[in-house]
Amino acid sequence: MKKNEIYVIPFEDIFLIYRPLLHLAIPGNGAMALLAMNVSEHPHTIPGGAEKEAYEFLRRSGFLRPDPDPQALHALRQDRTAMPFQPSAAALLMTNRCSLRCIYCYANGGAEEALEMPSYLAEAAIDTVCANALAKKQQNFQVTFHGGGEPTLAWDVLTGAAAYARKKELPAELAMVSNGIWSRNQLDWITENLDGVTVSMDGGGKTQDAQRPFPDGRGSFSRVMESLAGLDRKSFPYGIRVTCMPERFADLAEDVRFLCRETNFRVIQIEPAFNLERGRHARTSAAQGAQFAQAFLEAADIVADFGRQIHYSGARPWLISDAFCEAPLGQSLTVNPKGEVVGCYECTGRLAEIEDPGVFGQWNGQEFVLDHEKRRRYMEMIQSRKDACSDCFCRWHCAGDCYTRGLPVHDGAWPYARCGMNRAITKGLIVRGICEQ
Amino acid sequence: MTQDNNQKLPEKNHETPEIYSIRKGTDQWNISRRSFLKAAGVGAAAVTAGVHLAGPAFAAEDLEKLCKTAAAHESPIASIAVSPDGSCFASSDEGGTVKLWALPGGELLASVQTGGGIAYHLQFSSDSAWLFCGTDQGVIQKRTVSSALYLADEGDFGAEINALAAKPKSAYLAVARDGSELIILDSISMTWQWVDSDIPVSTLCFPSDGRTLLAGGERGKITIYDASSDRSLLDTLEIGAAVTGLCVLPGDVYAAILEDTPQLSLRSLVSGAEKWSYSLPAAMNPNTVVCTPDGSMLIIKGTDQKILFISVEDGMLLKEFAGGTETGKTLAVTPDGSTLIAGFEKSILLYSLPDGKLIGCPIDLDIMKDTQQGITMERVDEVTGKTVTFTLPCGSPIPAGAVCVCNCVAGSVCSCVGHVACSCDGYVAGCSCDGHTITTTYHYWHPN
Repeated sequence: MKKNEIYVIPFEDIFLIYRPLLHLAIPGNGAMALLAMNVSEHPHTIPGGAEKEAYEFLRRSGFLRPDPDPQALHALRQDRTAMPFQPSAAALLMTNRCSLRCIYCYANGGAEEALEMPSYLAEAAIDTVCANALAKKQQNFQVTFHGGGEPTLAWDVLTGAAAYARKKELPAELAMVSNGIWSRNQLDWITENLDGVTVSMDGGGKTQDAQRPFPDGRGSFSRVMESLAGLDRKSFPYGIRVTCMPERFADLAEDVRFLCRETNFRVIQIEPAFNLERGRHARTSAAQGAQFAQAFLEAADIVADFGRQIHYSGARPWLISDAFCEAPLGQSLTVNPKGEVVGCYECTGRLAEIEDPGVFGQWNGQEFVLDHEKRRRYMEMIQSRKDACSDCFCRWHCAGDCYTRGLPVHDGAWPYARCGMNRAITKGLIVRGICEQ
Repeated sequence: MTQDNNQKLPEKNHETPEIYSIRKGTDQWNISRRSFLKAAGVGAAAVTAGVHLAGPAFAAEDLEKLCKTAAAHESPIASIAVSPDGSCFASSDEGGTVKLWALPGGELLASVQTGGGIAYHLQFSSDSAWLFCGTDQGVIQKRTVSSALYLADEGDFGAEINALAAKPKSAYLAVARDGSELIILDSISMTWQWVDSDIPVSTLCFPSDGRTLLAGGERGKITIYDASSDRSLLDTLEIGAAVTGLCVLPGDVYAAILEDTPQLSLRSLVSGAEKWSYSLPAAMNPNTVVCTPDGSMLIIKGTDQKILFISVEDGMLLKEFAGGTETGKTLAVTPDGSTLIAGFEKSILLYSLPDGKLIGCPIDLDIMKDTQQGITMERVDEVTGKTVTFTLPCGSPIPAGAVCVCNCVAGSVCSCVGHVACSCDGYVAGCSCDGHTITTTYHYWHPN
């Protein structure tokens, strides 16, 4: 018989006794943890004496229910990887040109040979995902204009693609990820033609200007704040993406408080960046990971006080999944300006010395052709790395964490320092969930 | 079984098992030991806890007996609906009465005789401000929730109302009328538009995003309409049997479908594929299905007065017990997923979820006969300091130390037996049994 998954997570002087597949967590002492583990494994053995009340508590709280079968989820996922690649959402990496020179930019945006997605390629991707959505009898399809650079710099292609998508047989949901450096006309177009936008903005003036400057070194803070104010004036729904570098971890709380106070974002996503130079990732150290976890949780409390939502991609205790990111799984047709079909938004078409395992398809002039064998190997690589997660209470939440940060930077070694960071944040969010009850 | 890899537990532990509450202090976590008994139940946990206290406490079956004879209505319950904000629920009966009850305590807030027929369908507006009552005589009444169910407006639709559904975050209401007619009602102006429908609709459901409307009925199919703009027909799911109940699970990907074959199935709204099906007892005639807010469980009932808990994950039966009405949509789950509200003849029963334990039954003292008795029990929320009052049948178990005020009817005397149960053997006005106030118990699971 399958054993239930139960984890005992130290917290202060007690333990969180955690059933992730049931979303149940009970703060208890060591004896309670031992009892919970024992009766979870032998649910029909009813203890006596002092443990009887505790057993009854576990039974009545639903803690002794069997896990839903995670193998079924896993099998489903395996089936999906073997299924035809039929995404009904497109992520279009429009250009590597950029109006800013963010000091942590993984893509080295704006500083390399310019690439821009041609209109025919954007329209072909839209045709493909719309046809897939129709075949799957979905009610709409999605298109996100994304980065590797600033999508609004490919303005004619962007606006043309949006108009093209709106004319398709099914309704299109259109979104964009942008740095927020827009003209007044661009702001008007965005609010009139898109369904949502995520603006990359790192906090108050000191942080934003230091981390996200213009090419000439000027700060971008005031320009982006003008754009956010414009979105607020029109009550347009938007999210903010904050990237935080180790030297700014201590300022994160105040940066987030500033954004909560001064803007009306609905969701804020905060991700750490450990890059020491543009165009690459760097390894995460355990110490820096712990510092980020502390800073993030402090920010989470502030965001909660303002009644907004906050996310970090590696800590999602509300989610049960075996995939960190859906991009390689056929949920998204992610296309870069070179027409490559990629398994990650960070495969932006830059020249690379080695073959990128995340590039598994190409536009051939008529259709997107996939290298199924290469995609299978990529999936296997992701899966084999995640096999090392079997003893971690986050395994159904972070689902193996970000492929791109694990594979090339850490040579596939797993688990790595980000795991400690993800565990600390996940644990912190579980505790906060308990407090809200 | 695994442990967090940061730390191993000692193999032998001589402590007694303990559980704790966690609160965030100014600069530290405040961790306090909690009683198993207080923590065990959900929502109205204080009531449940009494069952397990030492002394002359009432057994669970006695509570069930008391609750099933305690009157909430004078006629059989016809419909139950819970407000989206979780502050109250409404019930109607076959005598034409509609009542409003507070949550979580179950105090009666209002009771009105509606006229215009029996309200077999109750539906709160998405902002919880209005209650709509759809009757068997084709009338839809719009009543205020905050002002004792005052009649604000009504419309005569000329034929029996078969189903009501409120579009999320919107003023629109979908109405199914006898004769294959579907109506979109603007609940502010009470004006409506017809939507073409080729099936007699008996059940309606909006997914949480409100973009589509699902309608099920006799012709063995579910029709899906665009609820965002032109209300055109988007898709049809062929079911093969009459659809008697319908709900969309959180996430809007799967729908649970009750068929009169009878069976319950889970289908993908994306592909139309069936994930699983569960054959129900032939005598059940299922007519209501609701889903818990966490998407883990489906709760159904039929004319055989049985309530079934079914696992969403695999379609397995989790629990079965008697407690429903024969007819009507008389099941509702509170938005926090802590409580199931079910009609049973003239009673309303509150069950804790997910365990399905009976925890109380609101009663209307004004309609209780001389031979029936009732108590009011108070507890104080330890965080807000707010006093919450439960009204229960006299004799219901209460925790030791609770403040118990017996509202016994004429001819009885109340007494608090060892602070465990309140009984009414005679009658003394204003009798009370003061002890320590009890505090709200918090459940520790996340994120329910």
